[in-house]
Amino acid sequence: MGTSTGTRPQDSKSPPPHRKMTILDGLKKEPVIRVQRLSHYYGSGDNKKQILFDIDLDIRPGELVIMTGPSGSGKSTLLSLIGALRTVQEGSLRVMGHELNQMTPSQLVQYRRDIGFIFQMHNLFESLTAMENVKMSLQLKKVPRTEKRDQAGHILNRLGLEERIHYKPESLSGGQRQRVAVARALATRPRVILADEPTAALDKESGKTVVEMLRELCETNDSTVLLITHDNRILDFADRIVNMVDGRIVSNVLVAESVAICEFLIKSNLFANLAASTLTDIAQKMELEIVSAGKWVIRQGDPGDKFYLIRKGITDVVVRSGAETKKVATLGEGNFFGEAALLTGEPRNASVLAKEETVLYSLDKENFQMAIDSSKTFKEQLLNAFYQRQ
Amino acid sequence: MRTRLDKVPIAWANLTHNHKNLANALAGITFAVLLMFMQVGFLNSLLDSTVQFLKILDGDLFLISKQTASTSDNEEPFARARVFQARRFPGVLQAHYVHLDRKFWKNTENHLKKNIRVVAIDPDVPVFLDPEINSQLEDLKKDDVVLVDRLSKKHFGPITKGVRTEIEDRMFSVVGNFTLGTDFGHSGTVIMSDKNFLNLFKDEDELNAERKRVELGLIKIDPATNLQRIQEDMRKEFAQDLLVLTREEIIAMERYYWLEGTPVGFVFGLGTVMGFIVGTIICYQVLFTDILNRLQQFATIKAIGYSNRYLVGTVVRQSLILAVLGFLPGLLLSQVIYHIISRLLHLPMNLGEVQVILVLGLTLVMSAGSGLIAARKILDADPAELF
Repeated sequence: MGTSTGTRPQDSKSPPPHRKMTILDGLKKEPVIRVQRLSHYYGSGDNKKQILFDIDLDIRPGELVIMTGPSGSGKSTLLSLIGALRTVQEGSLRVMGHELNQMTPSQLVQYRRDIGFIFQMHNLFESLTAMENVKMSLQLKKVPRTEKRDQAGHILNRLGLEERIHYKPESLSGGQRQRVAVARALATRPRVILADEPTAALDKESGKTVVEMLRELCETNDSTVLLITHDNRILDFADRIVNMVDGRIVSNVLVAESVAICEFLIKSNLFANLAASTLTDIAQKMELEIVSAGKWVIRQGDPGDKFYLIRKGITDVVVRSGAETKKVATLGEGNFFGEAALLTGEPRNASVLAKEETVLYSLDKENFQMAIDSSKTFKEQLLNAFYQRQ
Repeated sequence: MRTRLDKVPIAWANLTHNHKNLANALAGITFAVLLMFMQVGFLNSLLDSTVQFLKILDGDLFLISKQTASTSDNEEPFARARVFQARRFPGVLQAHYVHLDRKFWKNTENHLKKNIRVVAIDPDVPVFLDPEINSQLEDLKKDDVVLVDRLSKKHFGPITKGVRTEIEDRMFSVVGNFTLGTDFGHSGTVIMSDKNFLNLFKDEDELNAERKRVELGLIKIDPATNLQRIQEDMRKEFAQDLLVLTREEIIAMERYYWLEGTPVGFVFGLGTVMGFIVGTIICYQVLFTDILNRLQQFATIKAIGYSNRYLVGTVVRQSLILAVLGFLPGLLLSQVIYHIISRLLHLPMNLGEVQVILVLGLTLVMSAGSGLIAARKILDADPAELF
């Protein structure tokens, strides 16, 4: 049989939390932000300097994405391009269905109204109260008067500013000002939220409240959050962590999914002894595939090109022998298959059929080989596991 | 329903946020408004004062020499016979003459001689509309007597009834006073009979010449006749040497002369423009500084979806609020100063609706203009710099 199981099909002990499933569901959706071959330059002539290099990035509805990277790595430039605060020079940037470089200036102004901006410097209007500053964003949405007041009051209360709603920024602490700025950005429940160090000026509790609100908007409003931070306290809230260095994305990790993949892998005998870093590397290199019910994932006799892990769904393993076709196993969440053909170099020895819509992670032959080569133990374990099944 | 009142009053909030800055801004605008009111007031006063003499004369048509551009500045003589000729026109009830001249009045206290306007008339004919003057015409028939404008400048010394002084080295007695006021060409006025006036000329040739000439002719028309037709007829008859003007025309001519024919009108006009410019600069400075201080804040609301138009509109609203708030104290202060000047200088300083509307208009244009210029800075607010 050309398949193996890391865990027993119906024995997954880690019920996927609601959040993870939301992301998983979100992964099936069209990206709300699609960045393709995006490059950006500052200056001109001899002073022209490339800041972003062929960036590709898909972010789906409901994702909370944290961007990290050293200063000058291009994070802020990318954020300002997505926010239509700069003009796209090269490549494609599609947000909420709008191709940004095809929009007129007035359309871009309208587009920005659907985005929640949180800036590192709060930049509140010093002449307006906390309530009025929040109303400034609601005003753009043509919210009725009483609703405007209620919404502004509600969000300020959530952020612990109920005693300060009629205070002007000069009478607020740095943290309180930043919370008002957060309230201004989130009051309209925007579909996309772009934030630059939103928790930098906040204490632990306030920072947590802000990130929980962002998280809540992702889950209840399908909002997408893209935030730059160096605050390690909030990394746990990320669905995806994108690391940029020198204008390039050097890693793009779907955190929750990566953790889920690692959990599945580590529960198997095959991968149990691998170091966490190796598992993470493998998880990062795996690609998401969604196969509809009734479709074949692999076919017996085909050359082996990928290794598969079932993230969600049920599949049948079918072996054809002469005219006879026999189902030999049913695989579910956490099971993997396809490694035999990769290890032996022989064609697939079984077919796998999706019984329902199935979400899979695949690792191509090259990366599978690299994973094996990187760990002798892994290779031995894999071979042992394989030969034990012969 | 959503109305403008629902909106966050950002222009008002920006303006009133810093009370000290607001007070400075308002003081600046008020000063500019005051400056404009003063200039407009002086100009208006100049124009009013130069025609106030014409306004007390009783005539439907006025005869002046073609060489005369102003009855208060360069009155030129014409043949007295023309006035008698005018009497022959059908519909003319009366035609009388007035001598206008300047003579030296001796201050009885310091003995300094100052130029004073002399208006000489035939006291048998009431050529004035002012009842106070007309009631004293009988006194003017005496030898060497005058009526003196009680609003004449103080440098003429005592001018009340009973004062005796020299006019052109001839002793005169003041037999009464009237109220006229000074203008930019005359510090004082006396009225005397034509007989006494001619006595001032010692040179025989000069006297003979003066007998035959006058500076102003006043014609009263029968109300039942057509004024325009008589005016046309006279114009044809006197086309060679005279202008025949209605009351409105001669007043307009006088105002035009001071406004356009002398640098005085230009100077006050320039003063108004200077007030406008000063106000524009003050208003611009206030708004520009405010924008500069809030550039990041403006950039932020630009980022979240407010248009440049909204931001520029906010600054213009700020400027218009400043204009109105600065105009009101400027108006009040101007009224006080007008009153003081009027009392001190005996100039007709009147604050009319036209002046108020003019200065309000200038203030609004000044503020809105400076707001628009300052608002250009908002276009520099780059939200891209916020990240």
